[in-house]
Amino acid sequence: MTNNIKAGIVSYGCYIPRYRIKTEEIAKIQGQDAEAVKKSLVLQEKSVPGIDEDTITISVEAARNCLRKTNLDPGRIDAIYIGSESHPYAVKPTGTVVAKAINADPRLTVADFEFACKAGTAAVQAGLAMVKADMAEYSLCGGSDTAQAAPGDPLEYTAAAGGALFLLGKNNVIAEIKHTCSYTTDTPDFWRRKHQKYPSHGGLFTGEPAYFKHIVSSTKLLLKETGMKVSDFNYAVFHQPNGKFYLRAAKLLGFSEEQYKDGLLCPLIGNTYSGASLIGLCNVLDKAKPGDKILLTSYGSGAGSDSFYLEVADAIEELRKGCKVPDVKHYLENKKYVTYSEMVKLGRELHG
Amino acid sequence: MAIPRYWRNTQHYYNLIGSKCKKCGRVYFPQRSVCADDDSAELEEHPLSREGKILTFTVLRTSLSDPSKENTDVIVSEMPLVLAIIELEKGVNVTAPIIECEPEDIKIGSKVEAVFRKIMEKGEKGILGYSYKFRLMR
Ligand SMILES: [Zn+2]
Repeated sequence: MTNNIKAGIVSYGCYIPRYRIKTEEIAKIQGQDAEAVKKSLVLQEKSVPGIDEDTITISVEAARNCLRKTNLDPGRIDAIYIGSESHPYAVKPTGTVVAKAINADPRLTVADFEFACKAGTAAVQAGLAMVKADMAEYSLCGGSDTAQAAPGDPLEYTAAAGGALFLLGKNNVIAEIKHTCSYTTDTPDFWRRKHQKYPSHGGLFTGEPAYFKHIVSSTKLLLKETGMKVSDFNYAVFHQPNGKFYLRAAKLLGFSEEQYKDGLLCPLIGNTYSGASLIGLCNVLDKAKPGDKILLTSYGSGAGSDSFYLEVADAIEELRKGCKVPDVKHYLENKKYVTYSEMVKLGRELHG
Repeated sequence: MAIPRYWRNTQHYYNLIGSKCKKCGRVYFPQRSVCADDDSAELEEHPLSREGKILTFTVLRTSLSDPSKENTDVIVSEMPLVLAIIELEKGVNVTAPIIECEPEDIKIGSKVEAVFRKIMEKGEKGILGYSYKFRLMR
């Protein structure tokens, strides 16, 4: 599914809201044993958006972080694609506000993407294709979400907020996207019907025939199409609806802790949906060395997975030099805990 | 706020871009098309610093928002709301909320940086408004 034209990530930026809620605090309200929940989900806490934060503001902050690392004229961005399942408008693209807020030239194309938690990687594939086809000099693409969960739903423990955007192009590439492929089926594991406030899901059905089947199939497809072995990769990142699924998928595929640990952030920030695997990738890029090989597989309910093979380039050293833009570690450390009632107050929108 | 008025101001709400008189150098924020000092119409776009310092502030503890959503514009804000006058560059001040802090953390002279946040919802069905707010620099 990829031609031989070299292209990839020129810069990247993420954003995670400052508020956190501990698993204990939610367990208290749900009447469950906090230690048991923490152990079964491999989850300590999750991010909570501020009252004035949504997928648009998170995308703008991530986009600005991404562009602040380069001195690129935003007028050279020809496409903005943003994936989310919580676009604030049903009709009026998130990307239109992002384009204005980074001072992009109106001579560009914008579209929002949707595919549950893999909307962000679907946007990256489309943005990469635009660059490879010479239809865009640069594209800005990725995913953000403020995930919704009905009060009392098990999803309440994990549904979180955050996002990551990537500047793609052919010059000054810091990580070349060497290959990408996808695996998609009709699987009703998690959905939200039109005009419904909260999503619904098939409970245990979200595991074996959904998350695991697609993550494993897509990753194996990527290995087959590239002739790479699991041991060839320095890092592996997967979608992370909770910590437990991530660890199990990584182990099923034969990856070691050394390879998968830096991509796993869910235990500290929860499931940021369209942002989840991409913020994991940002954390890996914050640490990776030139020559490192990275595998990423996302997952979106409904259902599908996108896999990527990236190779880190020398230019990453240049990008990091004197960089004052907040990295993933900054966002993990700058946090403020809220109680359940404070979370409900902040989430006025989410809880009506 | 009427949609055309919000829309005309998005460049200053989103990007903190003012205008500068080419003749005398005076900076205006929000933008002006004619200089108040010398009537010159030769003004150019002038991006302001995204960092500044607090000149003075007040703390509002009575909600500005309208939970019943009976009014058209709902101000989206944390409570209590800290409203400050911030100097971005010499002679250019903006009034904006300081967010993600306790009122007792704020001092005159504190350094702040601009962030992008939602400021308004026009009822349940109307447009969403976005603009700058500020937070203490860490
Ligand atoms: Zn003048």
